[in-house]
Amino acid sequence: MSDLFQSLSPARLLPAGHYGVQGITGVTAQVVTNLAAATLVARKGKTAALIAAATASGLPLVDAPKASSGAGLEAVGTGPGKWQVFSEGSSGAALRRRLEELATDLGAVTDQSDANLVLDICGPKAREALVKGVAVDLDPRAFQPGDAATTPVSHVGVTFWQRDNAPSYRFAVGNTFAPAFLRWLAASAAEYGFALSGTDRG
Amino acid sequence: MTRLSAGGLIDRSRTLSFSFDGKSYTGHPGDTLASALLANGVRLVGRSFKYHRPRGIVTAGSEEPNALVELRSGARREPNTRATTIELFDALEATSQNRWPSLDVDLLSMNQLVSPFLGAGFYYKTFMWPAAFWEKVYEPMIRRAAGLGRAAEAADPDHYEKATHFCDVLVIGSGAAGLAAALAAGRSGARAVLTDEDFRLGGRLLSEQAEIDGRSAADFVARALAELSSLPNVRLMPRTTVFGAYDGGEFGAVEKVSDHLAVPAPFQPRQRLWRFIAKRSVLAAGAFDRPIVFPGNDRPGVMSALALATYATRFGVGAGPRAAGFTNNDHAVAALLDAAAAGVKLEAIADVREAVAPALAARAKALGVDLLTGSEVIATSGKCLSSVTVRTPKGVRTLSVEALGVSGGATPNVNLTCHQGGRPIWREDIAAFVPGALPVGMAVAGAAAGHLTLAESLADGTALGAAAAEDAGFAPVAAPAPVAGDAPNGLKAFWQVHAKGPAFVDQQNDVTAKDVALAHREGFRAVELLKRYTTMGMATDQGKTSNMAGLAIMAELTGKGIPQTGTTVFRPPYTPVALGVLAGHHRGVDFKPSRPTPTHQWAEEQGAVFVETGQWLRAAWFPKAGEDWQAAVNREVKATRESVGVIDVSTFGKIDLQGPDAGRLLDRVYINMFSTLGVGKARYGVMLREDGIVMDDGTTARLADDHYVMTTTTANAAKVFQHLEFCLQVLWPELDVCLASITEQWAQIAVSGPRSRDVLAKLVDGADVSNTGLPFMGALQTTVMGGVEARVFRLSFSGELGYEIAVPARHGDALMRAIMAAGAPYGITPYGVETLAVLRIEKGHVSGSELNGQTSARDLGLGRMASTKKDFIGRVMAGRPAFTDPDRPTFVGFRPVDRSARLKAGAHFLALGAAPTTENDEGYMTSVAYSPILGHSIGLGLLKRGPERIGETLRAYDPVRGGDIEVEVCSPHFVDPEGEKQRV
Repeated sequence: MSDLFQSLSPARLLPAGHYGVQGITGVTAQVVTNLAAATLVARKGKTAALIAAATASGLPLVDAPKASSGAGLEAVGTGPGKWQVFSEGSSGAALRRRLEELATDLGAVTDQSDANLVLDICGPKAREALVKGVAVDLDPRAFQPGDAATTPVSHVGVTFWQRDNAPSYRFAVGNTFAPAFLRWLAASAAEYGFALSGTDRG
Repeated sequence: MTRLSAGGLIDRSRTLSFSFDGKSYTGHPGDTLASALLANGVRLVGRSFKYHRPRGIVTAGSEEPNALVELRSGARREPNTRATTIELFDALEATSQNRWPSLDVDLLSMNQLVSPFLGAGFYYKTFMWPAAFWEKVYEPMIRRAAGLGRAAEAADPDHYEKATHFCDVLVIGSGAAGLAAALAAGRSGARAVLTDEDFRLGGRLLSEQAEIDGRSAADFVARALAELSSLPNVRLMPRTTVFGAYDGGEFGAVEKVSDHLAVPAPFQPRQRLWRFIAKRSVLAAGAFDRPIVFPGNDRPGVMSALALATYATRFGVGAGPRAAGFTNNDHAVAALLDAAAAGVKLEAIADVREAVAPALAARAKALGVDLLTGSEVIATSGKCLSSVTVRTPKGVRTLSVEALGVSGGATPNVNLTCHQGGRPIWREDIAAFVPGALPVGMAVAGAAAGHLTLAESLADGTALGAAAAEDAGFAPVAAPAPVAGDAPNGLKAFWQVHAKGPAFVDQQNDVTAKDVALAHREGFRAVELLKRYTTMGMATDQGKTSNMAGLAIMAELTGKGIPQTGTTVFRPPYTPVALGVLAGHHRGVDFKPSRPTPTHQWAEEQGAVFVETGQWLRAAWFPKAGEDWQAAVNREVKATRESVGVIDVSTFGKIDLQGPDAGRLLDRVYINMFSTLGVGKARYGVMLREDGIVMDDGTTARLADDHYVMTTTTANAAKVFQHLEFCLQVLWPELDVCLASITEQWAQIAVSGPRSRDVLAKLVDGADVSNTGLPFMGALQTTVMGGVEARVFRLSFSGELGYEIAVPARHGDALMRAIMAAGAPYGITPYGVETLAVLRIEKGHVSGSELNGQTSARDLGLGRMASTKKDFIGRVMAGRPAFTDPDRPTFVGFRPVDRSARLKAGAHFLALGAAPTTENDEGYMTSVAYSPILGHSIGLGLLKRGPERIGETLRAYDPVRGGDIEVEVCSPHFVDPEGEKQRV
């Protein structure tokens, strides 16, 4: 409901709180903090070797729009031979060093720890709210835990993946697009009751 | 009151009140506005578009040509809403349109008196001369008289949204064929969606007294819906109009979520735009009951025979105290007899045929309905219908009736089948067009396919629903199709009664049979020309009911036959779609994303005035108390040139390039060389499009042998990244380069001015930033603020000594505050994009106004940068003769001869004394600014042979903004032309 937020700055994150229908919470979104991130891109012709090296070190990369995890890392395929890798509790520099070591001569690593707002979106009505912007089939027949997509949502490019059957989805949204994304999400989830946390006072 | 004593799918236990033209009425849940008006005896509901003739309700669906009303009031006022599709709600307010002073007495109905002059093509013929009158007199006059209804003047208080739904089988229409198809598909386990524009699913089954599997049609509908509701893989979507069939199995639809409520429930949208992505689709959109053209056929009370039956059976409403019929087919006769059985006092049915089906004749007799075969209605009378005149084989008869149900047969609703280019095909046996080539994955069932009986529809739906599921990968469950008895289905093609008086073909556009004849006489015979000349088939109903008779009359006139005459085809949308629902969430400040820079909050605290630059919100200037924008900018420019200024430049596109071939890639995309750039150095680069036009510019630094970081302009950040991806994926897949966008990752702040090094020195953790340690165009990876990773580039857009400091975005705000603190002793001044522009214009740097998609590197004075030792994108096309023509406008500076005059961007250059004509045009001003350093206006522009003409005086002529002054051609480098300041 765009009008709901007309008085709030479009350049700020929506303040944490409950939006829309009161008394129920069909959708929740929680900002994930303390998460390092990096892009890992396979060098020319080195995709298989990079996957093998990563798998050997405990992170089974999949060259597809899939999320996989291991060795304290979570990797999401964002394109052929391209992944976003996340690490909880690590610094950007530490993650980069770890990946560079793993990918020596096989891939390029770029720190993205400051690039995204990462949000966990879940709740019984999460799917119903998300289809208002996500043009990817989220039906359990088509999209399961471990499935990922990199796609525009409400004119904002995002990468997201399903993490469990709750269902819960993790979204990585470019930081400067995050205010617009949250406004869309809150508007879309308002009819189900929407709880947002982790953005403080916006 | 013409509410029948019993029957109908309305809840008679509850009463809803509503108003029409200020008068209060009541209806019941389940009514439409149209059925409730008829139940209250309101037959006059509008005035016609051109002649302001009294008009009534003609149909019971979205094909309605006449009953257009303004719904609701104030900010929610909505013009041209079809009363036949409005679900009645309590306190509904509706108003008639296109009448003055009132619906009952409309003075513009005098147009009828001059109707001989208002025929087809009237505008084109009448308002030809004098030509000067068009804009001042004719157009305003026509605009005042034209148009139906008034849009709301206030902003729409409701909101709208969009959603996407994927399915295996999309069934469009929930009549017999649609229900059968949905059952067959749903039982197989396929994800099925059943849509209908109506608020009640069931289609024509809701209006028919037929038997299916030995039960009533209503019972069949109830059981089918119960079963479909129980299937988790089936989604029922009433109030949802599929308006467009697009490629790839994509459909557009509008769900009227809250249109049946006075005000949407909290947090509910008014309407929702659906995009269905369907593996297969079954179109079961039914057919329209088409009119017969006869004199007086537009009188309120004359309506479709099937609509009359619908009002009786579904809504328990008699269209008038007494009714009659005028038909050419058994289906309509049966429907009218159903109405009689429901309680309508049906006096007679005139049928053009010699005989109707014997079973129907017997039923008519049993119901006491006079069956007048071989007969035609030749006239009607009354402001609202009071009698009809019938020409029978035994002579002329007058029937005193208030309603007349007319049917010229069924027109299959093929609308969506045309959206991918399909052209309907004529079927002589049913005298109708049926679907031609279909959109991929679509099947058409039931009446929409020309299979007009109930039995055929049920069989069709079952078979096609199962086939669609099977095609989508599901095993259909073998189940017999529901069975209905054979109904008589005879028809004699009949379009027009030849008798005296205005006979309307298209009631919505006031097109008469005479207009069609006029179009024929004047040579507008092709159907597309007929439509445009007469306006037949235009506006909200798109000729759903009227087109066929119009075509048939033209075919009769040309003697060519209907299939040779052809039909117009349909484009989306099937019914009108509100712009609001197409915009969805994206209006007002949500029109597009607003991207804040990492220092946005800090800038807010400084009282910055922000400006939208693309999606970004950037500080435009930082006014101090009492300053206007010009004063603020002048102060910011002076402070930067005299001491030090600071600006957030995080909006530049930033791209990380790694891999052994990164230098090679850069050599091919930039006109100048990058593979030879030393590590720790940056270089300004220009890239061209393939056609030789400049695409973007920016600096790229080499951080390691196989690692570069590129900056692009703010505007082209995404485009340049896409371009590099294209180069790597398509042009040179052999290059080993890995790309990553790092625009979001890094905050970047530019510090400029003679004291900028002093500021930087306080920020770095001990790095040598002296002129030798970090020389001009140097790049340094270091840490700042006690351990924060940083990249420092010694670059200058302003022409001053300057640095750009990049830190991970989370530190951007802290870096800005640290810079401000470090610069405080020097009076460091934050500046915005206005000052940025003044600084670069003073320095003669090109920017967006010059990189405008029309200029080559040579035009911008950057031609000499182009390397001759390598190939690069755009090199060949930049060398074409037009691009090397010495007369081509080329980049140069300008100043006003009268230094107090103000230059204007967009002004064109002319030789002194030359007339302002295109032939004399010598170029134009691209950018201007007031230079506080020089104390006068300065400009950059593109002038024929510009650099050769420094010192010349020209005329800068600007008729658009007003301005005609003399300017001197000068070097574009107004400040520090030798470029010494940035190298100290």
